[in-house]
Amino acid sequence: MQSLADLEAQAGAAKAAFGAAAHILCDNLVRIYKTEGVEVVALQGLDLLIDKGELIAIVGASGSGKSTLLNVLSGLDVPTAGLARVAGMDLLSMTARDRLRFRRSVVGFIWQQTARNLLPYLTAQENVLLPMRLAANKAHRARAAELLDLLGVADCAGRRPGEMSGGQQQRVAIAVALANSPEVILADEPTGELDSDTSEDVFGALRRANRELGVTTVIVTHDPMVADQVDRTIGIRDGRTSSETLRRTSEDGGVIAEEYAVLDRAGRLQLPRDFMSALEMERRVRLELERDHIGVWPANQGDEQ
Amino acid sequence: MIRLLAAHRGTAALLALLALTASLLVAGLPRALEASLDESAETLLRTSPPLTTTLTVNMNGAYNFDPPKNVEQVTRKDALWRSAMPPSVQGMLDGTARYGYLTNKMQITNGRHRYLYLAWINDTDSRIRYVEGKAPGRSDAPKHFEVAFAAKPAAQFGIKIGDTVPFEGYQATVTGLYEPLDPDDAFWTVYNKGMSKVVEKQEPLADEPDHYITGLANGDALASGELDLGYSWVFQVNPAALTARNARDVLAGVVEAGDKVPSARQGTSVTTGISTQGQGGVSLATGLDQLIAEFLDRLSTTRALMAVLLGGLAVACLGTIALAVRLLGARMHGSLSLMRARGASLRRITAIGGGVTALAVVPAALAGAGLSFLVRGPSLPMLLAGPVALAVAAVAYACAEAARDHRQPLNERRDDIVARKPSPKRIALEILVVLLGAGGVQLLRTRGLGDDPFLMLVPALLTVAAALVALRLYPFPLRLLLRLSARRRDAAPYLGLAMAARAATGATLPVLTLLPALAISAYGAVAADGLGTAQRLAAWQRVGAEIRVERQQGIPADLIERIRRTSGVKEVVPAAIGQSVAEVGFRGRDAAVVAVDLNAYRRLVAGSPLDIPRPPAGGALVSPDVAAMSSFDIGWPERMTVRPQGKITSLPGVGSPDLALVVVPAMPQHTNTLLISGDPAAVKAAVPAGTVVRTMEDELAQIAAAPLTSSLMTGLRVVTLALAAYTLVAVAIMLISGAAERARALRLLTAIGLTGRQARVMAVLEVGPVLVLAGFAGLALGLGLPTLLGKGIDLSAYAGLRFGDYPIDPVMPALLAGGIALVALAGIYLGGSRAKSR
Repeated sequence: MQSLADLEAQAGAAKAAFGAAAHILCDNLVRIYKTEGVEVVALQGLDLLIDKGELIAIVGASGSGKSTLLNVLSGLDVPTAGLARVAGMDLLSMTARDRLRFRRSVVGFIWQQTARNLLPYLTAQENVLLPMRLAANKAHRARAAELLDLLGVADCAGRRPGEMSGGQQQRVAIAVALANSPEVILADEPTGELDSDTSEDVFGALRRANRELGVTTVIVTHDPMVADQVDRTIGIRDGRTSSETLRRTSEDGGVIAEEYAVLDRAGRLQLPRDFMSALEMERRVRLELERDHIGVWPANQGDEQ
Repeated sequence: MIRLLAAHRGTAALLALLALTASLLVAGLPRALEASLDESAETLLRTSPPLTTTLTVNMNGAYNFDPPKNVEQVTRKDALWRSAMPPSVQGMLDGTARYGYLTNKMQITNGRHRYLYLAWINDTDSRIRYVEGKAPGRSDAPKHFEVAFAAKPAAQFGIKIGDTVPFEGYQATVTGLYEPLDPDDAFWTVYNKGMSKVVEKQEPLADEPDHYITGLANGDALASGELDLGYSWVFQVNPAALTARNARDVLAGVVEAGDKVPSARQGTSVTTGISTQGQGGVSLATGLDQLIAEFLDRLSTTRALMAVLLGGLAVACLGTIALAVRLLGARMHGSLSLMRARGASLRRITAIGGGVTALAVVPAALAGAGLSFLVRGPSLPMLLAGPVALAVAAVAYACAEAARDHRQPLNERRDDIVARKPSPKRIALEILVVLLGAGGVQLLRTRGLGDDPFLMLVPALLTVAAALVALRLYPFPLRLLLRLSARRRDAAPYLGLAMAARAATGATLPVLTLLPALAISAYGAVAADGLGTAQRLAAWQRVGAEIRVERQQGIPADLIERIRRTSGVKEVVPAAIGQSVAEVGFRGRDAAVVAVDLNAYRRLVAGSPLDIPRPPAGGALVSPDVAAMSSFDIGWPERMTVRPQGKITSLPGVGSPDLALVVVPAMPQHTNTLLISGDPAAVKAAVPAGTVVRTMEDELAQIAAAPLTSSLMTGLRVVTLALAAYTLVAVAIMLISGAAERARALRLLTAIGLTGRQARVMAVLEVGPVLVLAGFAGLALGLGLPTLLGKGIDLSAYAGLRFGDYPIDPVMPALLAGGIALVALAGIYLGGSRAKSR
């Protein structure tokens, strides 16, 4: 039984801010594209917390805001409102100089198009050395070789992108993204243009980077193979996080996946679309607080009761 | 950077080629022009009468308190005058020293109408050879001179060696007779006629002519004698020293020299070239100022025209190079975006974008500038400014484009939205350019081009302003066409026009390049064509017929008949052309008189640019200044009374603006001129010696061969062709720039059933509107430029025509613009089907 003094101490203690310990934090993130006469809300109050060293996948339908989120996190795009912080850097209040430093040393980025990740006239090794040179770091050939070796493309060091397969190109691209030892790697559909075998190689490379270098890795993907192999899969719908699937290994060695709906700080919750259509839920639902859960009923059903 | 350049070597090579040709043109053309201007200046001095091109300081000893008393003093004065000349004039002098002095005319005692001059000239000794006796020396006797005469005039005067010629209280003993070493030298034929021959001159109201002979005396003896002497120091100029660039300074120097010659200020009229006596008896006489002033007039017209053309060429070169830079930028966009995303700073991206462009442009521009040195002409550091400016502009534009493109890290273009609200800054800038263009034209019309650099830019600015206005108006007809095409069943035109409308915002640079290029090339074509026509007209006007035969002593009827029957001669019109005094008022009026059958003359020149008036029913045609008289008399070809029956302002090849003109019916008995159509060679062979035959073709060749005119024509043609070539390159770059998007659209449309023909129609309709817009607007502006610029740039002088006679023929430029547009559209049509077949 807590005494009054305990309660007072508890109330007076500084409460940790939302996601204070998270490596990547998005709080009520909004991104609106405004062009002449057209306004597209790509992110509408998205919340997201990712811990350091996590490997997560972000899934969602086309146009749900996945790529926008990734562009915001990589510092290539600036959010309209809300809070976005990566490795302790506030992405909304960054100056141009901060942003450049952020892109150089905090994040690495991998695009879907294999050709877009690499300069076609440079060899794999030169491509890996490029970010080091751009950051005015001393170009370490040894580090480039090490990274290429880690990702299993050491034999491609002297080849140009045109002389490599798509999978090799993507693995070199991961090496490029890792060149300046970033804290976070963001990959936008890295296996989108690859067949399933090659996809597995590339994903394997990402996972190795995550495990061996401890880099926080965020992968936007449509690929179920990828989504099924990460620790956490976050679903995005209409510019908000809608669901999370957590995976853990059971005692018998099998993988147990549990899907959760996401409840945001304002208490908002997205019901899965198929649940809603199965019960013909529209506009209004009736909620009832039970002892250990909340019941949700379609409005008409409840009315009839 | 080098690898990035190598990866886009095709585009870089195109850019380099454009930079090379552009810098060759902008450095080489002015160089060639300057060379021809210099040549023209030199020719002018070389071919003008020597008396007008020299500077002569005259001193009348009678008016001077302290005239030179010996040769040494005269020689010292030569150095004095020379050092008194302004530096610009000193630079022109060829270093020959020529000075001397001459007595007034003195009557030979007992020699009726026979006069004697005594002279001393510093460089006579090297020009003569004594055939008898020796050079005159100093005589110890008072009022006595030793003299030498040229052998021929001495014989005419009956003077022999040893004779003593008495004159006005003095005596001259002949000690030598000489011969000019080169009797045709200007020294004898121009300056000292009286020394090599007897000069005959009829004084007014005198019964007999006077005869003059000039004798050479010893310099010191003559100077110290008590005769009144006229001294002169002749300064010869080196024709090659006058250039287009120093002409203005030289002119100012000549005028200043007039002031500097001591005490000559009031009396010397250097601007008219007429020398009059000044205080102290010193004056400067020259025709150089007038010659140079006339040359400067033509020079400024040439420079003005070339400034217009080079300005247009520069706009077209810059526009095309900018298009190529943009193409290279678009090709490098992916690589630069990746570098930017991987942590390259904006400064580095800008440096890479600019650096790659610099690698392509700078060596090419330098090579172009280097090649321009192969063009004959003066080495002017200024001429390198063109290529340098070109290279700097290209690199600066590349940097600006790279910075603009990659300023925002994620600057993805939205394909679905193309219309952007124009920024107020841009609208304000456009209005400023249009206002500057309009204001500049007004200034140009009122002031002329002169040397004002702003005014020289006006025509180019005007073309840019016109392009901006055309771009603003362009969407309206396009929208109308789009609506019309939407009603048609065939989808291809609608799709093509829709793509054109989508491309409208990207059309700015192409239109800003194409329109000025077409406008200036149309203007160049108008000017070249008009100049050709005007020269032809001028040649006709000077000769008055295909062939003109003149014989001072008259042309007898049998000779006319013989010429008429010569094979190759089509028609012969006899005329009497001369000068008389129209007896109007107290003093009469000098008039050119022509007796010709106007009907026959009209038939003779039918089909030529000449317009001969019809003959009056009776009486004569006269110029307006004497047309008010009911009748007046003339004394030539015979005494007759003229009864004006109509007015005539001019007749080809007759008279001058100072003379009245009287055209009377033919008088075959006084024929001195034949106007002929036919074969010039046959006529030349048929006429006797002493007959002048002038042909229209010879005259035309002479007009066209003038250095200034021929170089102007060459310049016009080169610029016109270069502009046409740049236009085509600009169109090609426009096509290449949109090729990827077009191919993507066509692939999509082919998948849903687009035919090859429809693909070609689409391609033509996509690019066609911009071309048609630029073509029509450019052509209209090019044709309107001569009128818009008015007197600012008047080419009539090149053809010897008065202002306003300069013809404008739209056919040539229209053919040029049409040809360029057709070639471009044909390329697009064929390219359209290729894109589809990929």
